[in-house]
Amino acid sequence: MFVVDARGQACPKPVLMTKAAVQSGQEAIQTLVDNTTAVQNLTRFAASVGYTCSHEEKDGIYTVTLEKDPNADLQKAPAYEDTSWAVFCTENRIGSAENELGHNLIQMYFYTLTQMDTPPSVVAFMNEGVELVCQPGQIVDSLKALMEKGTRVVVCGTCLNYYDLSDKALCGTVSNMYEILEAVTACGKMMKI
Amino acid sequence: MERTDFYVISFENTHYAMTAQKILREKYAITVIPTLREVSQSCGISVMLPEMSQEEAVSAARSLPFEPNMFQLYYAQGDKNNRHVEPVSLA
Repeated sequence: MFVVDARGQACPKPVLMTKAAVQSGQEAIQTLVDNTTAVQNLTRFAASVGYTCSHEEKDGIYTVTLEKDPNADLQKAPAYEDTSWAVFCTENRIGSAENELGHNLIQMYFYTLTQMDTPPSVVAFMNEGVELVCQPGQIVDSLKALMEKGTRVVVCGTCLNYYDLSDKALCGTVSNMYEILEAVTACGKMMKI
Repeated sequence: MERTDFYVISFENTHYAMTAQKILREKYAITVIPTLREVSQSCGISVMLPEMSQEEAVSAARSLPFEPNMFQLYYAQGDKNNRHVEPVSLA
């Protein structure tokens, strides 16, 4: 059994890693993930490429087993649609005007993300956007709720340093340009605010 | 976790909504949310109150120094796909 360790990876990375295994000709694959969104995505992906799919959970880690189905009819297989999307946030408000409305809008924006059927896979903060993860309150609460749903929150460490906010991030993972760009560009769509 | 049972105040215009936030935030852990789809006649910004009784919610709403026709307290029940929202009288 070929093993793909996708623990700690945000969607769509587990699917991309598993897809690479399928494309290399592996007919029996076990992919390890740590969130249910990844399990659902892998299940849909497996169906789209003619593999059976099952999973089991132990201590918060899901082992998803994909096996090539010799009877699968790829003509009738449902297409796998990449629904992953990223938010790339570089400001501490919505809109360029420095006013109270922009700050209200961004609070409502993150709250509404928590209510969506398909929350973002990745939320990345750069430049003055990093201030949002350093202030206790509604936005950090919303980000924590998103993380519970499987969203990966990444925060630019260089930017935290510039704004003298190093060690002040209240949620997410402090990261660098390489990792942030890799996480954002792995998603099917991106929304910049 | 999505709240399925809460009190929320909507406003006639955005300026009242922002003034209300400043007043209510001093006393309550409020959440600024988009006005619920079920509420049609108000601006787009609403204030969700933390978990509290109807009596406390009415008291919070009454603490706002606005004319009664400039805002409305609502009680919302259910999730986003099946929500019932009803106005709550401050009388």
